[in-house]
Amino acid sequence: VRANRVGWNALGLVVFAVIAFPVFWMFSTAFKPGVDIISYTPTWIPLHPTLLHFHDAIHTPYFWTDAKNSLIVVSVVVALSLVLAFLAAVALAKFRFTGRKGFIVLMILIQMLPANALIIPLYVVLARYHQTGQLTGVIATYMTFVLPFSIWTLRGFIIGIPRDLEEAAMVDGNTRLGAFVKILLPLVAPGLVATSIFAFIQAWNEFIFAYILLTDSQKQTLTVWLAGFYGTAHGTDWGGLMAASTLTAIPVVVFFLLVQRRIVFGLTQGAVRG
Amino acid sequence: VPRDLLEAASVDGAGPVRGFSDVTVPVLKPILLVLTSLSIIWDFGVFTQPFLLLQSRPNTDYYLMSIYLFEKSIGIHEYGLGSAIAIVMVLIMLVLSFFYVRQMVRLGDVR
Repeated sequence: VRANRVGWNALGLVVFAVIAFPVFWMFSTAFKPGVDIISYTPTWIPLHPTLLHFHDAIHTPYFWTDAKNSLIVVSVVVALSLVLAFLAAVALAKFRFTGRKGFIVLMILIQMLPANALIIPLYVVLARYHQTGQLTGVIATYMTFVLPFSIWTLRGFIIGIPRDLEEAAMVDGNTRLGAFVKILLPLVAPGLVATSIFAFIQAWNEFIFAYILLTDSQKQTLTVWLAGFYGTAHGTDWGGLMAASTLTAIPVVVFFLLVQRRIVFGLTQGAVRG
Repeated sequence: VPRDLLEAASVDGAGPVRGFSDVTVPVLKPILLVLTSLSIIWDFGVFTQPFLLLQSRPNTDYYLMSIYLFEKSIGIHEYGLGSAIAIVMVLIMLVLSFFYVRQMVRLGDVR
């Protein structure tokens, strides 16, 4: 049994190493001087670490503008999707109405559509309202796939909260709205956190739509800026690209670390007897 | 997987392999089906990584349906052809989604 456990742990470590290696390599390359990057004998860690690539990446035109654009898009998408998805999820989980099942099935089906298949119709619709080349157009586009998933996730969380809790609050003299704010909202907080992480990652990493809709370099998001980093006349600047990738990855990690402590499961376990 | 089921199986004389194949796998089957269909559905639409890594290639041997669609519609402005490819993609997706949605309904997720 003991040897067994050691074996499983070793296997787990190997899987972890395979998954983590690209991230490690990105990080490591970002700090290596140019000679070490293209050297025939690769080194695991930067032997002569340098911040030059980060300096280059930050001073590449439009880095700060596009980082700001990305932050605007992501904050609006996260905030809007949290509010709308929460209300929609409450409606789906707590109330019976005609067409509810159809709505749920439709929401699952919408997530199945390949994003690329929607490029042409979305572009045509956005162009009609002069939203191509605008951050608002990109935000609206992101909502189309972030919202269904968020509603779906939150609905799962809300269904898990016993109805008796709200009813108890209402028996104690709270209005429906009071029970909603005091009981439902705090209990569904872990769900809101999980949803916001998902929305953040989706909106931050999205590339195709931003690439097609935003053609002005003043108004691009960071992923489009990063893709443009690639080709210079002299070939690819790998150090700069890896430094830029590292910088692009940081906000997601920071956001996750900030909110992950709030993910607690099983808050309502044992809240209702019998 | 409830531990009781595995214990009952071993009381009935099932070894670890038998317990895995006759208890663990059947219990997990619904969720495995959901994960498999989701994985197929997501990977079917993959675009960004192959597009960014290979877009400078002159030949088209790396084309996936999503890249083909992109090159035809955005690349050379054949919007009719692009829309047709999009429709075909969605139809293939609908066939795969059928199994996924049916599984979700069976699991009682659509209530």
